[in-house]
Amino acid sequence: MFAQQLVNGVVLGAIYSLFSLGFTIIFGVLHVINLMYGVFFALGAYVSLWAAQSLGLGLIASIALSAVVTGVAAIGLDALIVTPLRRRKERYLASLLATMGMSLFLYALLTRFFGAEPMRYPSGFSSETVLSFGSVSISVLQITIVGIVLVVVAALFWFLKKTRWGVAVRGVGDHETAALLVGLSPFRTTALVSFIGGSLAAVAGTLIGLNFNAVQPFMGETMMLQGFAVVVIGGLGSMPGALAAGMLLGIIEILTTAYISSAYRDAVTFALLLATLWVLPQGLLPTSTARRV
Amino acid sequence: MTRTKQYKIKMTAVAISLLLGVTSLAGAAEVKVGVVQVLTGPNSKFGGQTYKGIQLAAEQINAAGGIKGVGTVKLITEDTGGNKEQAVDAFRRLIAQEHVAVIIGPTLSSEALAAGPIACQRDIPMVTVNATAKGIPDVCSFVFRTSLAERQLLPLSVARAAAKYKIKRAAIFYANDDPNMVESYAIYKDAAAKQGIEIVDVESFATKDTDFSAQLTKVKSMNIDAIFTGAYPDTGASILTQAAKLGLPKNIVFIGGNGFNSPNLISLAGPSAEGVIVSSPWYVGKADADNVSFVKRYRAKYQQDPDTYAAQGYQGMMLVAAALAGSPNQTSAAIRDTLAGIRVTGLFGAFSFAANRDPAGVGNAVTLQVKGGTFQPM
Repeated sequence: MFAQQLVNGVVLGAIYSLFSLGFTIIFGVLHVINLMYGVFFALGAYVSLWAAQSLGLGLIASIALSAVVTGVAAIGLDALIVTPLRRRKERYLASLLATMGMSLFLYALLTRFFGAEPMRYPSGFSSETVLSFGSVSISVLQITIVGIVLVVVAALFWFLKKTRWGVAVRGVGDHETAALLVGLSPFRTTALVSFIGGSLAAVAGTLIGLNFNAVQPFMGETMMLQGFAVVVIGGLGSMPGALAAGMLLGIIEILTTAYISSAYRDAVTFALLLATLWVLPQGLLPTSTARRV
Repeated sequence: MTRTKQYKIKMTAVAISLLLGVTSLAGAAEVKVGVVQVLTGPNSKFGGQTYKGIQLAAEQINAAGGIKGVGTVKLITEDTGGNKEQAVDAFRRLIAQEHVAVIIGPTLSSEALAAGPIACQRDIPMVTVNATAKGIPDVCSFVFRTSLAERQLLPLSVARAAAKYKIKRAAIFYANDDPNMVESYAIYKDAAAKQGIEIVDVESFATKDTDFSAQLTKVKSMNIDAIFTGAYPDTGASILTQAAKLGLPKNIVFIGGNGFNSPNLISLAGPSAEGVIVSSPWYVGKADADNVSFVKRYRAKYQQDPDTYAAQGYQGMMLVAAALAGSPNQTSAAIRDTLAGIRVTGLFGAFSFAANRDPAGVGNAVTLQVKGGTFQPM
């Protein structure tokens, strides 16, 4: 049983990491708490659901379409709500409140258009095969999720460190005024980060919605608390941090449920969060940046 | 004209128009019924369906000329969003500003417990058709409940399932953040003890949880015959699909409570819902004339099948109409007393209230099982 529980933990961990990647890049680079992320997550799932049902697209095509559409929506919404607030002194608080308000409005809109009933993806949309290795079962979809998380983390890491656009993004994240002075356009870079955040949310939404086979307007909300915890534990803006923290959280949650009691599951998450803030406030794998003293 | 004379003429005109206005109001002959349900937010599926049932009933009553001797039914609806503070506000508004005669609602037990005292303070009868937690009608003599509680339905399910499937060992899975589900855990334990079933494991989770791989893997190797579940359709469907994916033995019988009693469970869980057992005061295929006509009219108006919540909303409105018609006068006390002693036959069979204002019996409650994608009598 331990092997199966470990597999369960890794899969859950991958899901938490996948959800948190977009969140951490927005948080870490734009320095805003964007609570609309949960909406992008649900929106991504709905777009791919629509693509699957109405356009008959396959898995990869639906995810790609959903990523682009959500990314563009994210650029628009962020420009509307978040960008004006980034210049203010209370950017964290103001962005928290404004994005929370906007997310409530968007949830109501989603409920209005799609209804509050959970929807399922059409059968056959993704492989339903379950592989068994002895006493351990894992589905092909779950393997896909773990695989995609690793690929995305590697890709983002490479993007931010090795490409010019990535360096520009980091530059704006470090010090906006300095970036302006050297000729980086904060508007374009912000739009790029919004797009990346939105598309990551969409990919996560589709895969997670598919894994639990339920797409409903509030699906992002249930993940937000865990996502928040993962982002803080891993270190703000750190991709490998989000991966490590997500995996750690997933495995610990599953093992607690299996061997201690399922009643303590959430308690474990928040105990870990508290412990991190106490002992390692920068997170597990903080992005090493020079700090103003 | 002097100013005093002008003033007198103006005041007379005002007085006459007020008088005319008041008499015209009195002549309208309508009765206001307050409806407080969850119409938005994650729980809107329950309240929304109930509201549809209430609306259908009200339309039917008004089409036949309204309530005899009282007038047409006017529904004044308030949405609570699943929030008990909003429920309290809704009650206050309906009673103080709209002067409703009766309130049908709220949807959730938490709302009923919070808003019930308001109805009590203002002596306005409240009929909840969904809330099922313990102690709701005990709030005061103006609070009535028509929904069958878990404590009446779950033991029925357990007993019938135990007889059919010879259940000896079972696990209990319940959502520990919802008072209804926490109560159903206690009821399952009792019912199991009465049937001589050993509870080998108890697992809990949060209603919003989506991953049950840990709990299901744990019970997979425990050699159980049944899993008693206390969860709502979303959570329940996740449990069922994950159980199938993890390869849990197919002979394990899932029993659910009021939360499982919804077509949503089947549409979400698909083939994994086969065999799930639920007891219900009503199901869509009931063959009596009342029900057949109700289902037909519901389908025509809403292009979908009714579920138990819609049926309860419909029944609730019919009950209130019967009380208003049979009441000697329209004072709150008279309406309350008529309601307390009411005897009607409707969608749930013969119905009356017990002394504590809960339903007097289980009526035509039937134990259903999912077969071929729909709930059928077991």
